[in-house]
Amino acid sequence: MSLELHGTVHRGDFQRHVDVTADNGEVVAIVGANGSGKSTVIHTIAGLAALADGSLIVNDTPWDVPANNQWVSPEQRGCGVVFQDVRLFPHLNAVQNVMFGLRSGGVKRNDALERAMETLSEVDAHAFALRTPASLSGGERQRVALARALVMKPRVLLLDEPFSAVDERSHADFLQLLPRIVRETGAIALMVTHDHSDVSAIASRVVGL
Amino acid sequence: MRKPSTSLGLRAIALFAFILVALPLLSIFIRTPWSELGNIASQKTTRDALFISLETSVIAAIVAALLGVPLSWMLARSTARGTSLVRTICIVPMVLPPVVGGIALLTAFGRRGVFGRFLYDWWGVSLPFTRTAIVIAQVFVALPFLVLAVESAFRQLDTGLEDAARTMGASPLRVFLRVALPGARGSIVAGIALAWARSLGEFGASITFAGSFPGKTQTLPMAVYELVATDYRASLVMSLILVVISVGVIATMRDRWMTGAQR
Repeated sequence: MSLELHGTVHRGDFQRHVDVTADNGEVVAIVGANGSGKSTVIHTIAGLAALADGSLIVNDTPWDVPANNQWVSPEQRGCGVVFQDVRLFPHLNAVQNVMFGLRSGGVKRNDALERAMETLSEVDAHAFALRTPASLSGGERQRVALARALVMKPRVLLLDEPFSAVDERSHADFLQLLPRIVRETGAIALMVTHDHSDVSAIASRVVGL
Repeated sequence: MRKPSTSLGLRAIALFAFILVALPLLSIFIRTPWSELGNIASQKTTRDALFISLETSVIAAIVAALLGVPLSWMLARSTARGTSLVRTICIVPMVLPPVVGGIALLTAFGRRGVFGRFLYDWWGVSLPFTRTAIVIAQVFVALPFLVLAVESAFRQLDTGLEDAARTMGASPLRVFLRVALPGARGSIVAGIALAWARSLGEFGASITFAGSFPGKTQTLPMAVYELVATDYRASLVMSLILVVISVGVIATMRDRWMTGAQR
């Protein structure tokens, strides 16, 4: 598993050249000031924004090479994304949110439910599986969002400030959990963070913007 | 409690506007022959017209929803050239005199119409002056109301949720069904109710395209119109039925129309 992003990311009038490289089982931290384009990098890798030029190659597959008109849609990329603004579906409860991607991939309801509950347990969120996002605290929502991204066993895990609202104990738990999952699944994790202790705790590589 | 500060002049104008709308409605209540209400309401002409109105308007509201909700979604999300033109054409029936709509439908789907001739020549189908024609006329007139309400709700939805669904492998159809539809549910219900109420009151396009045959294509508004000259009291009772239904719809849905997609 490898990821190579060399090119210009853009959103609206904002443009920036970035170089991001990641290998099997790595957690890569993306750091930088506000407005430096960290979230745009996450969106570009997820397929929600396109490169202006350059290339994004994952496992030798060109996901986005504008010069050759090569493009893989976000539905086909299979990235697990934890968005900065969480983006849980408000009309679904926690476990239904986690099941959403599995059901989209054709997993049967009962199997999806079982896997979703397992993943919620892994992030210590099973206690509020039946509650809707509106009734959860910021930290609880982030746990559910993390479970929703992890349940798909993604090849590329994209985390945009995933721990900004969780309490200290959970934060410490996640810092142990994340590298373990990435190692076990052979995935790549790219994590936007402002927290230098996160970087030194789990990142094997740092990209500064 | 703090009183809102409005000028006396503005209040007088507002009161006049309210009276302009409320007085005619109130007059129907005042003049309705209440002692004969049961008798007139149970007459065959009234029962038939009410049944045809309810049957066709409910079918029209369902058809308008099945066609109008996907159309609203396309209009809300499409970036293709010509979207604006399509939207304009779709809402034209809203401002078109309904009788002109009826003429347009007759010209399109009449037995010798632009498209109707093929329906008749190939399959022997003749639409004008049937109950199906009423439904088509009602959908034609009511669809823009639904589209305006629902498109506005889709536009207000957080596209970030749709993006999140796509990263989870959801197809465009699944994004529409499982993310957009629930998000706009309140406005869709309101749009359907509005389309139904508009269909129930439809007169001009229906009478032109479907005629007014008692027991066959005569809806309640058509019966009201025909009875004005011959049996004013019966037309008052039928009008009362329509007013009560309309007030009921508005009272139930008022909050949803006022607040758009949030409910």
